[in-house]
Amino acid sequence: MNEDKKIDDLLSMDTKDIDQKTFKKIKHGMNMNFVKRMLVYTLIVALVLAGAYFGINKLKELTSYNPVNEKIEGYYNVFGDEEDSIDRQDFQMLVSAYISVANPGVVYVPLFGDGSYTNLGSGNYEYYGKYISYLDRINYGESEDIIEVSNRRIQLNTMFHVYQFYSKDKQITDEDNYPQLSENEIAKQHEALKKDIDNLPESAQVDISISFDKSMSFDQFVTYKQGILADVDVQYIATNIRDINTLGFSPLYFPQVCSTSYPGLCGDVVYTEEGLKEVYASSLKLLKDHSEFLQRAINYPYVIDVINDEVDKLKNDETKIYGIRLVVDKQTALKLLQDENTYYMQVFDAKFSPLQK
Amino acid sequence: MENRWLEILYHTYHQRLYLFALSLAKDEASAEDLVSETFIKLGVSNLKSEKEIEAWLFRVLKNQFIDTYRKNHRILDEGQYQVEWLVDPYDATKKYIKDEQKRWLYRKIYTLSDKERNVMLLSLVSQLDDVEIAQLLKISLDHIRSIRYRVKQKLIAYAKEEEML
Repeated sequence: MNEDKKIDDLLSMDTKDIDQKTFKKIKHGMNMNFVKRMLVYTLIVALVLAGAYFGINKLKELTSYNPVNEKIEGYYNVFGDEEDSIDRQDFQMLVSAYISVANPGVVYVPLFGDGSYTNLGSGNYEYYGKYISYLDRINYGESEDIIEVSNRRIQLNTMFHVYQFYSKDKQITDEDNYPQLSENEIAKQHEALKKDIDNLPESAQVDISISFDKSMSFDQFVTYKQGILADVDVQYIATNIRDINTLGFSPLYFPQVCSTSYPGLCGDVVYTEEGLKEVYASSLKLLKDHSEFLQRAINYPYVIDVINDEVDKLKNDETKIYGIRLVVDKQTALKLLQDENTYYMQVFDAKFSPLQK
Repeated sequence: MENRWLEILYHTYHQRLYLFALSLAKDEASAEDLVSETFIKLGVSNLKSEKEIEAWLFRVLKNQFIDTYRKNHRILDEGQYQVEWLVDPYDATKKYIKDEQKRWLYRKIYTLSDKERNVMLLSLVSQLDDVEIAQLLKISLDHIRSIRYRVKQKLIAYAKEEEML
């Protein structure tokens, strides 16, 4: 027993423990240390996340479709004004070109300059302009229409009438999906239309489409225009009807782009076979050369094939004109309704006088 | 001082942790490393009372040793390890045990088998009770008591031989 005690004394170490009061201080210190660490970690994580967020956004912007990057090749300024070329927005001109080709009855009046668009970030943009109809010759008010651009899609937010043109002699393919009109239907519709137009005042202006009895070549069309429409402006010439869509061009409202690559889009149109072909060819080429824009702007993917077909047809002199859209007075409307070249006529809108806003 | 709490803990537990770490690692430098890493882990611990500190420190030190030696493929089975002495324990404990007679006795303890050595060191240098030692070394309470009795008899015999008693 005595030896046990002695050996215990020999082996004993002078150790002491921490009391409760000291522990509380230690614990407080540990907690503070923990809080500090957590703050540092949180700050680091926040910085990393913020960096990643901005990095991804930046990357997205770099890799996304950016309408500001759209450039029209060979552009030159006819007035030699440098500021004008800085302010020009090629994307706005493309929208205008597309509307003039694929949306009969609608004109896009873009806003140019610094305020013409807003970059919303992450590859999203808003472009400003105004859609007007053929009857609204003057653009009143603010440019309140918005074109929304995202990486995948360009939302044009435009409205247009479907089934504007019909054709008797167009070969209907399986993909085509528009109703054929019976003789009876046409006769009834003409009768009703004649009555309606008769009831209009003499000063009335009517926005109409004429579907030709037989499709015309450019040459035939120029002769036709010089006859019954000698004093009338044709707003739209329909060269392809497919499904609810129409493709064609406007000899009045094409975008004024002065470019060596698209000579048909600068200045006034020369009303000859060659002059009209030049406008149409330049409009189609301008769209075809901007495939990124086109793929996002078109709701119906087959329209891209139709545009490509039209380019070939124009080259091979195979383009046919199926109809026109125009604004005429009452008497001209009645004359056109009775004309032998008219297969079908539609009235989209009318106003009582050219002075009516 | 900002890290005063760590200093207090270090002064209180460093010696006993080192003596146990030396028993595991059988090398002065490795034992110091184990003690340092144990203190580093204190910063992220969630201790509720002062009674928990020592048991927590010894548990972390032992786990740290197992992790380190498992990485080096020196752990054969759970709790069984083969580590050769790289130093003389008499020299390696010089800094912490000043009394020569005591150091000779501790040297004797360090030359015991792994199990006997760890039981004796934890019983002598720590304030852990038998239940905590049993949990830490994963052996039964009775076994701890019988080891301690047996080793003590050996040490008495040795002390007598060396005329310490």
